[in-house]
Amino acid sequence: MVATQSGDTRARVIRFFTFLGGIYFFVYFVLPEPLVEELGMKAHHEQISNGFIVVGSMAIGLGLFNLVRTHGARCVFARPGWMNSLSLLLGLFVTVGVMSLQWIHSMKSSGEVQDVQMIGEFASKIGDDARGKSGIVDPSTGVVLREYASQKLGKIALHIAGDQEIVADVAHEVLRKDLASRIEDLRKDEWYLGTSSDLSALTLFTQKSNELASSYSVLMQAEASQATIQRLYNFLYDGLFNQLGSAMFALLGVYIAAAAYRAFRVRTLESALMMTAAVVVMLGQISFGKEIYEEMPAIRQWLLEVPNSAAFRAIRLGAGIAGLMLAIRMWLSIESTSFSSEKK
Amino acid sequence: MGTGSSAWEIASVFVGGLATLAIFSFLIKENGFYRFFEHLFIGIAAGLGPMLVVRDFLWPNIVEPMLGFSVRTYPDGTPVVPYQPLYLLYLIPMGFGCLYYFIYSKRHAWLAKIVIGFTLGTSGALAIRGFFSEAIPQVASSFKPLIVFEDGAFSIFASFNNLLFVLTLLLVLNYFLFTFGREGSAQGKIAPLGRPLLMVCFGAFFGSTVMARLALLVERVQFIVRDWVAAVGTIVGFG
Repeated sequence: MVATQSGDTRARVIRFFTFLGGIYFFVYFVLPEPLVEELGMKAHHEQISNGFIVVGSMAIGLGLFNLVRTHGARCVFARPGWMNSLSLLLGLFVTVGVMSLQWIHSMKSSGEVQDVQMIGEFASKIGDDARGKSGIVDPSTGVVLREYASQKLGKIALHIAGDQEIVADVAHEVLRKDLASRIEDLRKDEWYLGTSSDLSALTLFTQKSNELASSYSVLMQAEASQATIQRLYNFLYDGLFNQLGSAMFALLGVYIAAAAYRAFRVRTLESALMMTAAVVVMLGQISFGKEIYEEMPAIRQWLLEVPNSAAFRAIRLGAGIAGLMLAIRMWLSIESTSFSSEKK
Repeated sequence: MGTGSSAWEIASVFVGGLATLAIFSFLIKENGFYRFFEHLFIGIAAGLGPMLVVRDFLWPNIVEPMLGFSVRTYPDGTPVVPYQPLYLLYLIPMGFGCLYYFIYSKRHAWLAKIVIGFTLGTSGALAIRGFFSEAIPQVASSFKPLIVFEDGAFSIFASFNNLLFVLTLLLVLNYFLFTFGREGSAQGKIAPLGRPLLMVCFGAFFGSTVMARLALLVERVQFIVRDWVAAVGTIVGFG
């Protein structure tokens, strides 16, 4: 009796949270837009939606854990098919490892670029502050900027020298020369040297710094594309994943055609219509169809745009109404018997 | 394959061709070679999915700003964008999402049902919104004029097309309408007229699907014949 009561309470809690999960998006949808804005929902909609995605994304570990548990056990106990499980786990761990390393590498590169961009951003901020104080630049922040810029320029120069030893192709050489000339140009700048401290000199320095940051970003991107970890990622993604995906997709094409050849027989008017439509669409898509009849592509186009489009829209509307009913039932916990009571 | 192709590119094409051949070997019969690459494909896909979620969503939108890693300061110490403590509120959905893991406990499995229910509720509400935002414009655009004038003159072709479109839509919708008793009613009598129109639609679908997949098959064959053979030639020393 006690167990049943607790089961009912649990079922009620689950139903309540199911309803709670949908109420925000439903209210956001049904309320008029001015009211949504007034309630502050529109301003924070992205953050709130992200919160909902976070709940779902916490489940990613569940899938990984199940995969590793099932296939790991098969490998450890050498059960039938352990080689296949090993290839699955190998693909999984290598992908996770390579993507993690590539991610760390790209974060490091973008961090370095951001540091260089900071020269221009800081100079721009000093300029804005000075404009607010009738054009007088604060000398102490000017010194901080010069020191920071000097430190970063030295770092980029060192990077270029190190890079020259690693990557030696023509495209990189052009980028390196461009960057080196920009560094030299900035080092001769009046603001950088401290010979001029007025706003116009600072604006020019800001502009040159931003151009230097753009050049540095291009070089870093070019370097990242040549990095071993990026090549390894390309090898996994373009060399294996995409190729396997395309092959699977193409394989199904062969099976669809073979199954239709074996099972499809033109015995009624309806099956004849179906076959005619299929043949017209297929012939209309290839140049051979035009050889048979000049207007074949036009007929195909008409078939797809008029009768097919109308019938497909009717199917979608029908399926959409069914989906709507299912969604309402799901949201109001009418659909799922497993949630309605623990007794079942 | 170009003459200046790098070792990485050659390796990539070689392994890609091998994978393609392994998948196509299924056409002969199911074999270990196919099974190995099939599992490898699933493994890579299973690794890519979570990594993309973490790298492209969780880290930049949630974890990075929450931990303050996205906070940048100017060289003089003033912040570019100050830390937003409100991001810590994301710990609530994170903690709530962790209830999924109670699914492994026999005693507390019902806690996992709470978060599953919550996600289902969210999906349900989103589906309601999705239906109205998708279906209503389609319904509105289905009301086509049955008599069309082009450049001031009656266009028989455009009028026929619109009439056929509206008729097909209504007849197919009517074919799927089972809510009211069909027997003997006018609705029941005209319902079979929707079937041949549906068959035309299915035929067109079939044709489009087969052609899309065959186009990919042709691309795969071209890849094997041109790129892969060249890569093998380079590896064995004929390239």
